[in-house]
Amino acid sequence: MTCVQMREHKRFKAKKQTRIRIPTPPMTNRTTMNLTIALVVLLLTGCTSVEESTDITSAYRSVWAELYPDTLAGQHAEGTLYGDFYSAAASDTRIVAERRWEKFLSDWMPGNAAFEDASHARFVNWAKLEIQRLRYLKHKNIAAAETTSKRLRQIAADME
Amino acid sequence: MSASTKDIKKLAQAFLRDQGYYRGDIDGMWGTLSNRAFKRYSDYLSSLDLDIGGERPVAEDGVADAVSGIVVIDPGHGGNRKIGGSSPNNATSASGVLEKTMTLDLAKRVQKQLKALSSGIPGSGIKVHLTRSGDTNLGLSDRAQVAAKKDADVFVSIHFNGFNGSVRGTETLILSTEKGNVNEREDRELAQRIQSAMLAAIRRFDANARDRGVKNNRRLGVLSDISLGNTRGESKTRACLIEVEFIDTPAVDELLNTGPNANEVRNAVAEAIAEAIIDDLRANA
Repeated sequence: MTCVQMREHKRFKAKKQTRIRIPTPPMTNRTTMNLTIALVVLLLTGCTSVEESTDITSAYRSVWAELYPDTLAGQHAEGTLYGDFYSAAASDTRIVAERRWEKFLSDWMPGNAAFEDASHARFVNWAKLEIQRLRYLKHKNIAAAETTSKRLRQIAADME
Repeated sequence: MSASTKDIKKLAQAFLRDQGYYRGDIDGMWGTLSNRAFKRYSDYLSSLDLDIGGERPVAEDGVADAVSGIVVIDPGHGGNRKIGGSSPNNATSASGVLEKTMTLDLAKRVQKQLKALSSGIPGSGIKVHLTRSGDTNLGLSDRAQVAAKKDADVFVSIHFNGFNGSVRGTETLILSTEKGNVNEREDRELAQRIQSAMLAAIRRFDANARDRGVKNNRRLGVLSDISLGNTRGESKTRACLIEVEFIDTPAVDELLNTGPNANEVRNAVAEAIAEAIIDDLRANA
């Protein structure tokens, strides 16, 4: 085989390899949509077992939000008892929830301050249990977190 | 389906717990704790000489006994900023009426009713003061101190409740003895009179009214005996905090604010509170 023939052979081989390479199909709108749906499904599956996850950045749903989601849509200004409580109860990650519940308690129950009425007492007591549940989750004490959830549900049942 | 004996025991335990006599579990197991709580509650009931719903004491000449005393009515919240632990407003009705507006409205009606009832009984003299008469806020201890300054016999703080937009109920709160209430028994008697009277008034218009009872609370600033001027040696002022209804519940909003009988209902509640206060003044004369 001459040099020319060898060069031709290499060129032919390279051309053949190029021909058999399967190109990646471009992402169509439909593929993007399917991937998005799959991602949402995965996220939702993760959210259903908040109790099982101990990651502070993971999805969060307060017991209040589980029981009374409609109340969170109400128009209550920031800096009011109801506004601050609903804002904390509507938190969707644990890190935000922890910050908001702590702020709620420092604003509405500083030190040994007194209660002004029944709803003040109820919301502060509820917030204390929500933050207790969060801390149990943070410290991977799932059983204690569940017990606190049950306590909150019992309070809700007693109110009905 | 009829309730089992255990269910009835559970109900009794829940009731005794609400009244502050029972601290055990609501399990339907009637043990020593339940027995002790029941006995304490029975003793308390027999120690009362309540005249709730009965005829007003009438002298031999057919005229009701004269009654006198000093009453301070405290419309909860007010103004636009938080002062001394008192928020400008907490609950808001389903239609947007603020709790602070409703407390002031009811307080003025109670004042009017007390004066009217008192003037109808010869020889009576009831002085009524409000802690605020406009849209202003006062700190919790300042409110109680109005009672101390006026040398009040009775101090009633008016509030409306809120929770999840669907629950109902009327409740009255008193300061518990653990927090140093020196006249808890007298406060409870006053609270029970007002609670029963309010509930009866609301039930005349709405059968769904619910009795949440008289409850102890350890940290109610406005009922602090120190601010009220009550000491172990002299505990003149009887005090309680009323939570008339849950105004964030649409049915209650209709009953008290937006319905065709709202004005009548508010007058009936005010009259009931005024009558209960007069009964209390008379019982402690």
